[in-house]
Amino acid sequence: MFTKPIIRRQVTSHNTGSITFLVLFLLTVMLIMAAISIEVARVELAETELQVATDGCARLAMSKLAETQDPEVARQYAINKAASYTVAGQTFALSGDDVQFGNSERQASGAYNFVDAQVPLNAVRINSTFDRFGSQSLPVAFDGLFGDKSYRLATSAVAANSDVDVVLVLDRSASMSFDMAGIDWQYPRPLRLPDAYLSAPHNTKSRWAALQRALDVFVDEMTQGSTRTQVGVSSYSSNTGSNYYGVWCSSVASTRELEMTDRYSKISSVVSDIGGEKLIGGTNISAGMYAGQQILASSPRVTANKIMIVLTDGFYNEGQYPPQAAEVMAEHGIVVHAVTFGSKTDTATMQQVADRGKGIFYEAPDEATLKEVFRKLARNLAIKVIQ
Amino acid sequence: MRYRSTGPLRFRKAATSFRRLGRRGTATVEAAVCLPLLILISLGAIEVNNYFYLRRTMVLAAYEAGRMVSEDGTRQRDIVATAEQTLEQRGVSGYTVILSPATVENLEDGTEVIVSIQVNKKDNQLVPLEFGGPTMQVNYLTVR
Repeated sequence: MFTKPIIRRQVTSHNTGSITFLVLFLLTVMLIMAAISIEVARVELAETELQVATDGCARLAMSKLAETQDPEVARQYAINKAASYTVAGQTFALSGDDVQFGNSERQASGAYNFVDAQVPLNAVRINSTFDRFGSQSLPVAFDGLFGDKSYRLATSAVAANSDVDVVLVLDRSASMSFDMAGIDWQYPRPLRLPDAYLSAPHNTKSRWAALQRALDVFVDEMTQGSTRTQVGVSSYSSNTGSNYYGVWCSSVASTRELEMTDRYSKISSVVSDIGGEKLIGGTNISAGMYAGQQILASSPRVTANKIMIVLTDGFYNEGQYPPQAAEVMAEHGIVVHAVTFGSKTDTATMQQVADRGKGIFYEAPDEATLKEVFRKLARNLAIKVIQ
Repeated sequence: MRYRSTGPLRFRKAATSFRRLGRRGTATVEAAVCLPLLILISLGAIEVNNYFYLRRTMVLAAYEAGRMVSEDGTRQRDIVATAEQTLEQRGVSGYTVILSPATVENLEDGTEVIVSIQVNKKDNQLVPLEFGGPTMQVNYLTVR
């Protein structure tokens, strides 16, 4: 007879409560997962708050520097105001070493590079840290699990000033009285040599008149834009003096025409005054650039970005090779933009001027293009940066 | 109650089923005690994370508005709209954006401005668990 075997299951008391063990295990896993997710979120919040606080302090310091022109006052202001920000539930704090002043300039790539302590002081960089060991601590669960420095938060922010000091270096050599045809000694009709040479440039058809109209566009754009930009003007020709048809004709290589001002209409009146006299002499571009540098250097705004716009309608024929002068300007933190005006100009040399002066070269063969160049220059002058 | 597995077969079967019934009851009780705890931990973690996310959004919104304050020629409504846009893009509701001073148009350069964002927590809860006060506020100091 076939008998169904009896399967006896050994049931012991320790089977009771197996769900409890499972739940306890799950509970532990869930608690760890919850804690990790909360810690990650908390650290991310702290990171954001730290970046925002650092940016804010950099902006405040830069603003105070622009106002007072005194780095120490700006540094103290940033340190004092740091307490207005909260990071990870703690009051944010900065030390004196965290606040650096220097220069931020545009690289060829379009990025801005901060150089500590370089003049002009147009930027502030603030470095801030938040870690387990410093005065600003960020205690975390699982401390040491990922190594000692896993939760060291460090960031920096750079605020750059938008103040700009720009000097226009204008060519007032004899050729600026010529007409726009690009032929030497050809004056707008009915003017002819020698009278044309001995009188002021034609008030509508000369190159000087065209330049004057282009500068009116520049002034209009500046007036509509930021009032943080100041403008100065220097002019150049060459040192000369001789009797011409019984008339004494002389000129000096360079003139400081207008010191830094935010009253842009003065540019028009200065240019008009120059055009009201006969234009004599050659083309000593570097002399004009050095006069422009003096105007920039006399500006009390040490934090302003320095820009030089050099214009010529011809070829340099006196003085230092202009690209070398541009190098000197660049060493002093001045960005040099170069503009050629007319159909017969030394574009190669002026391209070099712009390259060595870390600026941009503009070629304007006619009045319409020159107006467009000055419009573009005026619009691009004020730049506000924060990294 | 304990049942011994001895004696005739029918009695042994009966003892085993009683034990199974007893174990089933224990599991139910254990599950009834532990499940709410597990759910509570999950919901708590979700809500705490939501709190950090909400605060981070507020910080970013205040910061974006603060950047606008420093831009040339920006108006008060543009600044407030920037903060509102950041908050709404991240699904925050029940917020108030306050500028101090209230009008910024005619302020001199360098004047301090505080952008404050206040949020009603109840309007942004995923889970009805409340900790802290009913509102949360974030301030950002900047300059015109």
